[in-house]
Amino acid sequence: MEPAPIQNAPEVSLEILREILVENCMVKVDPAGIGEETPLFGPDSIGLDSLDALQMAVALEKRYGVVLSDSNTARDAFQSLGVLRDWILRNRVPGSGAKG
Amino acid sequence: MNTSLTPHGPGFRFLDAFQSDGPASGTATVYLDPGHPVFEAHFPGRPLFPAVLLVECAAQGAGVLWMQGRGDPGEPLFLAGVEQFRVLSPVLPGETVTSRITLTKDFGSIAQFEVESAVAGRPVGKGRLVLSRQIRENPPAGPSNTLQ
Repeated sequence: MEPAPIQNAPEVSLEILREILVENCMVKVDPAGIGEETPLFGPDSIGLDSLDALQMAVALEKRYGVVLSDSNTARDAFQSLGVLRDWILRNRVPGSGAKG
Repeated sequence: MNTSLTPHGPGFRFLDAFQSDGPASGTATVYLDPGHPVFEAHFPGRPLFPAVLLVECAAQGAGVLWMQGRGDPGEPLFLAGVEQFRVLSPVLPGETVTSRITLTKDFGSIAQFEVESAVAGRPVGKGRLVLSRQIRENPPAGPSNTLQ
C-alpha cells in the first residue's frame, strides 16, 4: 500500500537525495551517473563507506525526521537512491524534520 | 589514572573511571592533575585545560561505552568526526571532568555519540562525536567497500 502523503513535508525525490549524497559523502563518481538502482555500498557500487552512511543518516534525520540508528536499518535503506526514497516515504513521521 | 580502560599511553590517557548505566549510555570521569605536562604549555603561568582535550576526554569515554561487552577493550578506536562541539566554560587544573555519553547511532564499524561534559555540575562542553574502528583511507570505489 502506498504511504499517505504528508502535508507540508519536505519533498523526497531522487534529485534531492542525490544532492544530499553529494553534500555529505565522499562521492568519487560523476553524481549524474548515480541512478535510481545504482548500488551505494558493496560490490559494483559507487563506493560509499560506513562514515558516509553515518553522515547520510544524520542529514536525512535532520531533513526528514527519519531515524537510522543501526547498521541493519542502514543496510536496508541505503541499497540505492530508489530504495532510500521509498524507505523515507514509508518511515517519516508527520511534523518532523525540516520544512520545505 | 586508570591504566586499563583505554589503549592510550599514560601521557594521553584522559579517563580515570567509566560508569555504565546500560548498553547505550554512561559517564566518564577524569581528574585533571595540575602536574600534567599540558598545563605547563597551555598556558605558561596561566594553566587552562585545552578544549580539544575536553573533546578527547569524551571520546575516550565513548570508546569504552562502545566496546563494553564486546571486542577487546584495548582495541584502538579513532576519532573520525567532531560533528559539533561547544565549549561552555573554562576547565582548570585540579578539576574533575565528567562526560555524560550516549550512543546514538551504531553502524558496526562506526558510531555516533552525544556528549555532555561538566565540572561539579557546571556544564563545560556539549557536542556530537563520531568514532571509527578503523582509519579511513579514502579507498576507491570497489568491492572491498562495504557497510558492516
